[in-house]
Amino acid sequence: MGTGTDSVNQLIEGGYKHGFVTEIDADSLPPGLNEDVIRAISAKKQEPEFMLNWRLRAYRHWIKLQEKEPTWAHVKYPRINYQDMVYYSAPKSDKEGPKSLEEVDPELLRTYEKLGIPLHEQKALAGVAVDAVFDSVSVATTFKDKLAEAGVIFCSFSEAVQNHPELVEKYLGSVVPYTDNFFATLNAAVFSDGSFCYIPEGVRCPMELSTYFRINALNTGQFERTLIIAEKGSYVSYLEGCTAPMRDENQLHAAVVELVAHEDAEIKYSTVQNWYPGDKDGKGGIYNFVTKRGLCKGDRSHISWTQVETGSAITWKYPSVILRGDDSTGEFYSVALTNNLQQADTGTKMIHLGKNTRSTIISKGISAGRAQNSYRGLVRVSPKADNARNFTQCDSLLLSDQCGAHTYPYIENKNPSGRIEHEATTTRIGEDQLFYCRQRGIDPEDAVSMIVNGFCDDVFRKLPMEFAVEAQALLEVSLEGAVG
Amino acid sequence: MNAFAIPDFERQFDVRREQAPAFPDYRQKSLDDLRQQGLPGAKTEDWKYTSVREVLGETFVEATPAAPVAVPECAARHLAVMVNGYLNTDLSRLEDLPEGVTLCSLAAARDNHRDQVDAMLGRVVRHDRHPFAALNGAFFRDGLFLDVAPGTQVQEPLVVLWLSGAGDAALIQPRVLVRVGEGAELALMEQHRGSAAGHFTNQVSEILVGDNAGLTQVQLQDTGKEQLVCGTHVRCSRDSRYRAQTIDLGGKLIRNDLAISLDQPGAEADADGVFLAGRDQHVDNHLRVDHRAPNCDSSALYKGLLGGGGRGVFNGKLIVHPEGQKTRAEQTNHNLLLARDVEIDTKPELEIYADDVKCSHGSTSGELDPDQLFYLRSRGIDSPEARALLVRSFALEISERMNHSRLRDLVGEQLEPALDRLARNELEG
Repeated sequence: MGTGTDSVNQLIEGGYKHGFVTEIDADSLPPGLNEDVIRAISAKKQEPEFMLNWRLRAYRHWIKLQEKEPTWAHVKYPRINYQDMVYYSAPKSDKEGPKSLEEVDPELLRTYEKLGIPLHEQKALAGVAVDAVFDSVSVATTFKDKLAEAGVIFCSFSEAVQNHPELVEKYLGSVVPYTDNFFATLNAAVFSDGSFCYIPEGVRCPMELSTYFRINALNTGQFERTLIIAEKGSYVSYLEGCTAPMRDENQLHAAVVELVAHEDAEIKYSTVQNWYPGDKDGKGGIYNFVTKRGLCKGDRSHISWTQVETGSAITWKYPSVILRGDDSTGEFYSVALTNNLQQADTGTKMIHLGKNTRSTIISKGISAGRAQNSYRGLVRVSPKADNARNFTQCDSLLLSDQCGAHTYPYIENKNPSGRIEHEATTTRIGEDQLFYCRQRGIDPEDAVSMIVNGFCDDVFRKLPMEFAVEAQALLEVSLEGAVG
Repeated sequence: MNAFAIPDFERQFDVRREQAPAFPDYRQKSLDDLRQQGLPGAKTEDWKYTSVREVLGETFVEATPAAPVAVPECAARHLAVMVNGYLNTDLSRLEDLPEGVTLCSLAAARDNHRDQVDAMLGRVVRHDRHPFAALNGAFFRDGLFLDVAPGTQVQEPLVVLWLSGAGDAALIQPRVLVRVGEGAELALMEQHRGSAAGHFTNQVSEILVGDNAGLTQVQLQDTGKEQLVCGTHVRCSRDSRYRAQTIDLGGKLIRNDLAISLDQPGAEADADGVFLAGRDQHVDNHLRVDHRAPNCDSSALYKGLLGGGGRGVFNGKLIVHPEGQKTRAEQTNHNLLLARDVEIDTKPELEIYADDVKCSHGSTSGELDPDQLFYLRSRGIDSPEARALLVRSFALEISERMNHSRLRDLVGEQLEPALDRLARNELEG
């Protein structure tokens, strides 16, 4: 892992501390969405004119889409009233949160304990008012210096708009245009903040970038936007999310992530998502409606998505790669676990446009309780994509007799030299596998989690090491009680 | 002669109401279902890759009984000839059918077997997800009724030839009802032969396979300039066996909806298919298998071969309902792309709501394997011959899965020359 692994480790473990940073400006706009709200958001953030115009174009387009909220996904939720939401609010002030840990859902606390999170971090995660100043602020500063030395720009989106408007203007919406889909359009109109990352030509980013140590941007709320640009020959590995369930007031999350990889560049994007999934009866819980897309713009560029999705009441997410450059490659590795009444409709799109492009899709879905878990993917080989190659494998594991596992792959091939393979299986854990483990003295719950971890191994191996270890622990916690 | 544009169905329905057609309640219900869902367009998920714009833009005449353009030779012992969707008894050979088999036109069955018709009509097909089936329900005139009494074994295949007459572009909408009684066995081969006329056939078959009964059904489609939308809806009872083979030799537009519902424990279904599409041809196979009871097995293998300008679509949907514990099911689709300027769109879907199951699907597409070609050429087989060999072996796996030898021969007689033509064309092109 090179330099700084220990410190990164520390940071990852300590990352949750940054959960709820209070900003000075604490006012919020009244609920509802109209052009004035958008102007106000833009003004509050002191954005240049091109940003405001872009937001307004998106908003005007969204108005046209209003009756067209996507319904094709295999998920059910009550209609969302978009005029009922607050589109700009400063981070939740301490007063709204629970006063002490005693007021927090004991289930949540138990989970923290299982994940081995120290007490003061638990407080921060659960949104309990904490007044300590964490020492990692200085660590983060040290990292920033190191990155600056390499020429890497890594900052919040707002900062990028102020300090690097030319880059933002050039790339914003270049992969996910504001017209892309209902939620992406909404995000474009009202997004509050997010991350921005720029790796200059030939630079190998000296550390794995993680949102953890970008303290001020953590509470970006419902509409986050991330933009990562890797110039010619550069490399970056980006980690998003965290393993501990975060308390969050916002039910709807509609984020957008755009990646641009130029010639010979490589972007590795890893996500561990464990937002509040709602209680056992499916009450509460986050709706995670995310648009993530990478563009392999240059020849021989490479983008890989790795995700471990265990949280959220509803996940609607299709990290995709457009393989435009010749010889470019795209990868998608995913574990999606749903328990209780969770619903996940997730997958990927691989659009082959350039010659000799290759893509790999490995998706593992695990359903327990009464959850519904769907893989939905698209592989498209366009007429000009000679010698394109795709391999897809999506496996589902069923852990209860009331859950569902579904696979909806779309495969479109318009070039005879394109070779596409897809396979999918759905089974439950074999009695013989369980018997074998138990016969060797492993109790049923451990045996199941061992088998599940083995099932996901192909994906975990693609995660950065620290993440992989946490992801395994996370699966165990998430599956608790799912096995009879 | 009545001019009939499909989008104009409401008015057409009113016109017909005055003629007091048979089954008024069923027709009304079908019309309601059609109105409810509308005709398929570019945004209709089930019709995403197949456009019926041309069919919907055309004005047809409603088909009437006619003389066929040409009657192909057919050596089958039992032969039913349908012309424009009407049974033509003069051309048929039905006298040798074993006792216990009833075959007649639907109109005749309505008079003589009313109870059975009422028990089946509209009871197998689901209109609410098949707009063309609803259209058929609202407007069908006649069709075929076939009943095999319990325990009856029909060893020799029964061949049903679907032919069309000359004349203006006709709208042909037959309804077929087939019941295979308890413990009975039937081998059925339906053959659609298109003419040069621009007819549109919208056929719906409803099939019941009784307890411990067996039905082997081949649909061989070679429709030329005609367009065909063919819905086959099957319900299988306890311990029954249903084997389907769909052989598409090409046509301007062929769309098959094969929907199999395994309703009771122990039912088995195999659905195989091979489809060829060359220049200006479009072949779409939609397969849906519903496992509604425990201990049912199903398998499907579809193979597509696309020549220059051809377009193929495959959609396989496997649904295991919560009652479908101990299901074993698989679906496979392999596609061979033999030239540029082709398109294959496949979507093998799994929807599983039970946990004690073993389900899988797989799909591949690509061109001929250069290693295999090299192997053959290194043994002195020239390139065209080697390609033809590989094309044949790819497709004939399907007919080899057919365990009814007579049917296998009947299929092979037509499939093999078609494969050679396809391979040859691609080599010349």
